[in-house]
Order: sequence, then C-alpha cells, then structure tokens
Amino acid sequence: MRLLGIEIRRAFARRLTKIVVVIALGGILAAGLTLFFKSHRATVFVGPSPQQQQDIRNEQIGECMRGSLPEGIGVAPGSSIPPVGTAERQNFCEKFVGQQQFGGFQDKRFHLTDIADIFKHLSVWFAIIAWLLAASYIGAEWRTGMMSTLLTWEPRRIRVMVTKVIAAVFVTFVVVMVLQALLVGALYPAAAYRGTTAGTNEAFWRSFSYIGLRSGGLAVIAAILGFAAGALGRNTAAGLGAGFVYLAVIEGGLLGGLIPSIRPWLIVGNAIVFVNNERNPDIHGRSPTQAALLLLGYAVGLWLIATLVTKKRDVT
Amino acid sequence: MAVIEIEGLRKEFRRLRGGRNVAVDGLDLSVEHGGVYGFLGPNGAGKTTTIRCMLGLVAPSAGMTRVLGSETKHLHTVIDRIGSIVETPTYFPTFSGRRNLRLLGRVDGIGPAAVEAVLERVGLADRADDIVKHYSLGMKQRLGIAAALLREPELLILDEPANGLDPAGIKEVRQLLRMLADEGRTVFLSSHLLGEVQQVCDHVAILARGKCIAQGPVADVLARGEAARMVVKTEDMENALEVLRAAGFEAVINPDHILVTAPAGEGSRITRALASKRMYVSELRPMEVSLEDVFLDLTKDDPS
Repeated sequence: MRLLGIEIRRAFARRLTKIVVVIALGGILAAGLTLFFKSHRATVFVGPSPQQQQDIRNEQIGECMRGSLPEGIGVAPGSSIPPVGTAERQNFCEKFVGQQQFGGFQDKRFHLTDIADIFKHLSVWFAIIAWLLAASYIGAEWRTGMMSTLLTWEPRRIRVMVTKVIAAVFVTFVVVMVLQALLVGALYPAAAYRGTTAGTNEAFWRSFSYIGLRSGGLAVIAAILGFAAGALGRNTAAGLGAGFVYLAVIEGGLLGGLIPSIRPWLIVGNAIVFVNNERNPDIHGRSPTQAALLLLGYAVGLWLIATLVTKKRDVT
Repeated sequence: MAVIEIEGLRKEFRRLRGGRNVAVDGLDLSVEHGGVYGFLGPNGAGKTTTIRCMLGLVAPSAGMTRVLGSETKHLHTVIDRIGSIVETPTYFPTFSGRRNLRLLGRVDGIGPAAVEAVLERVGLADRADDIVKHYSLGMKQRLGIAAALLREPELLILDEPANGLDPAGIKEVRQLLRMLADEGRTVFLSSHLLGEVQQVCDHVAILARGKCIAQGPVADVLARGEAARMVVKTEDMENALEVLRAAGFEAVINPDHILVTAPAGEGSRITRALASKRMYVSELRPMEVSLEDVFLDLTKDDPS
C-alpha cells in the first residue's frame, strides 16, 4: 500500500498531468465564457437580410415573368398559369413569388440538457487524455531509467506493474471526473442566466450522471490500454504511436474496411455503444454492458501481456 | 560468511542482426562479509551485467547469484538490507533531490530525518532542493550514493560510483566507502579505475571479457604481477646497462632510468657491480606494482 500511495502521489505530481489539467481547465473556462456571452438571445432570425430577401424576390419574379417558375411555386389543382407577357402573368408572379418567406427564427439559447450530447462527444477526448497520461506515466519511467532504480528497491516486477496500473487508472479517472464536473460548473451559468435549464429534472440528472460515469469508464479502459502499450514499448512515444497506428490505420482503415465481419469486435464501435448507451445493429446488437466488458477484457488482456513481458525481459 | 556468491554465471545477449554477445562467461565469485571488495575491469568486461544479475534486473543465461543468502527469485526478502547504484543513477528529473529521496524512502517507511542525514553525508544538503535535471553528473552520483545509503544497508553494491566526480569528489567518495566498511558494512565496488580502487579495497576481483582473471586480497593479486623490478639511475646510463648485463642482470633502458629485473634484496649487488666500474647510482628503488600493471600483465597474452 505504501508503494501505491507513492505512485499515486507521483502520478498527480507529474508535469504532464499538470500540463494536461491546465490546458483542459483553460478549454473549460473558454467554453463556459464563450457560451455565456453567446446564449443571451432567446430567438434569432436565421436567413438572408431584408435587402437580400428583396433581391431574391425580384430575381424570382423576373424568372416567373420570363416563363420559368421558381421551385416551390405552384398553383392549385384545376387553376391555370397565365401566359407569359400578360398583365395576369405579372399579377400571378407578384402574388405567389412575392409572398415567399426566406429563413426563419430559431431558439439559440443554451439549453442545459444539451450537455448530455456534449459529454458524449467529449468522452473521446477524455479517453485520449487518459491514454496519454497512462502511456507517459510508465513510458517515461522506462525511458529515463527510473524503472531500473525502482526495481532495485522493489524487485517483484508483477507487484510493481499492478501498483503502477492501479495508480495510473486511479489518477486518470479522478482527472477525467473532476474535469467533467468542472465543465458542468462552467456551462451551468450560461444556461441558468443566459439560456435555459428547462428539462433538467431528476431523471435528466440521473441519466447525465451515467453518461459521465461511462465517460470515466472509457477513460479507465483507455488508461489501461495506454499503460500496457507504454510498458511494452518502454517508451511514451511507442505507447502513443502504437495507439494511433492501431486505431487510425489498422482498425480504422485495414480491419474495418477489409474485413466487415470483424467490425463488432473492434474498439471504436464498442466504445461508441458503451458511451451512447445504445445498441447498434452493426455491433451484433451488443448491449452497452457487453461492449464495456469486451473493451475491459481487451485492456486487461493487453496489460497482462505487458506484465508478463516486463517480468521476463531484461532491464539493461 | 559470504554476502555475495556467484557460481558459473553466464550471460549472453542476442544481437539484433543475429549472433550472440557473451557479457559474462562462467564467473565464480565469493565476497565475504565486511570490507571493500573491488570488482575491477575495463569497460565492457561484464561488471555491470554481473551486478544487474545480482540485483535481479537481468536474468542469467546460466549459473546463479546469491546475495545475503537469497537467490534472485527471493531477492525481495533481503532487498531492504541492500543499497545499490547501477551505472549512472536515475531519478525523476523534474523532482528535487530531496523529494526523490523522500519518495524512495517512503517505499520502506523511511522518514525525512534519514533523508536529511544521507544528504549531509554525501555533501548534497545545500543543493537538495534543486531539481535533478539541473544536477551535474557528479551531483547525480552523490544523489545515487545517498539513495543507496538511505536504508542503512549492510551490503552496498556500487557500480562506478566515482563516475563524473572531480578529484576532490573521488577522494571524498573513497573516504566515505572506507568509513562505511569500517562501520561493518560490506561494500562491493565496481570500477574501471584500477588505481583508485587499489587505494580503498581489501579484496579485489579482476574481470576481463566476462571472465575473472584474478581475485583475492589486494596484496596477493599484486604479487601475481610481473617479477619484481628495480629502478636504477646513474649519470652514464648506456655504460651502466652494459655493466649490469655483464654482471648477469636482466635490464632494459628507459629514457631516464634502467629497469633491472631483480627483487629489492638484490640492491646491494647492483650497487656493487656499478661501483666496481666507478659508476655511482643516484637513485635505486623497487618499482611499485599497481593493479593496472597486474591487469595489463594478466591480459597481455589475451589474443582477443
């Protein structure tokens, strides 16, 4: 337990952890302020300006007078369109085209209920942050040689790997949950004072809490995967590079594109099912819980491989 | 009682392009409790690999190591009685020296007072709050020694602890190691600086190309060097060389002296031979043999 306490303390004190948190806090603050100042108009007209609308009308009346009817202009069944060049034609065109409306009014206020979708989209970024922190946490120790020093204090490598992955998971989970809580705090004033909190009843908050927890859960899985990749490569860059190459090239391009039957077993699809909490026919109709367990299985499996390799491989 | 036992240790590294590199080749070693044991050899002799095997960082290809009575798989039962430095000690570069030591100390429940004591002992107290990446190599070595001392170990395994230290620092380390040995600890000191080690060690083992070529008390190992020689200086070196050879001595001339193969007891015979030809010695002394001489002597016939 002493070693775990030290590792957790060190993981929080790492420069990268601080940098990531500061950048995220900056983003959260900017998002909160931007939203606060942009969501004060209850309704906003979205479309061409009055002068632009008049110009469009004149152009369409001209086209109508020349013989072609603009899209959406028609006459009631049984009525006839007056011939081109007649006064009736001009009356017809001015009556129908001239009454057309362009654009409309939209509710541009920030609705607090929108944070559910925002958090679903942000879960990808939180997973990336978790991967980065965990891969760097173990990778930097190998690269600097600190792992060698630590093993002369605690030679039981499996114990070291277990302790370190628990510390990495704990720290990334705490960081992600705190960032999510701060984001809610940053966005709430925009909704409360400049937008609307309509619809935020108990059921909404319960559902929203689950989204936050699932986002944290995905970050935990990403942290274990990142940790394992960093431990196998004994380098932060190797851990990050392996993740990028796998997700972007192998899974995104080769496996997903060339072998459609493998798609239900890929990471990204299952992560989407888990975070959205919705079954997806492309993923065998797998439930979010099943998707989460599958992802956790992958992560733990890769970590076990990394641990066995660490146990066997020389520290030179 | 042996604190370190090594039997038939062999370590091969596979090369990426095929082939094998034998770093340690059938090493047998026994280090008794107490004193400073020098583990000597040039760069690439296999010293660090041997130490890594002893500390469980590298798995031997064959043979075994036992430290404080425990084989590698049970090393954790005695690790808190061992302090070690392996090559250049590495610590968290963005943490201060003091913070690094406190973190390490907490692994064994060692408090801040012990950290302050070792910082004082290695002369790093004034710079203990600087972050480690700003430390010079010598300061990193001191921090490594401080970390090795943190557990008040009965066995210290130090791999090139004088690396990067200036002459004053090397002398301080030498005195510190001697002091630690006098306190009843065993210091296993690996170094390629044979001259330095000779001044502090009680026993030595000399390693070359992964094999132990000599081991024992320093005096015994020195005695394995070339036959005793005497340094002779006179005004007329050329004629003196002829006289000595005529008297039956094996002698060679060097720029400022003649080297005569003879034990110290033959001094009177040398002076008598020269004086009979009206040549008088200005200097006559036995040539000091160093570990370096012994090492070069023992490895001179090595075809590799």
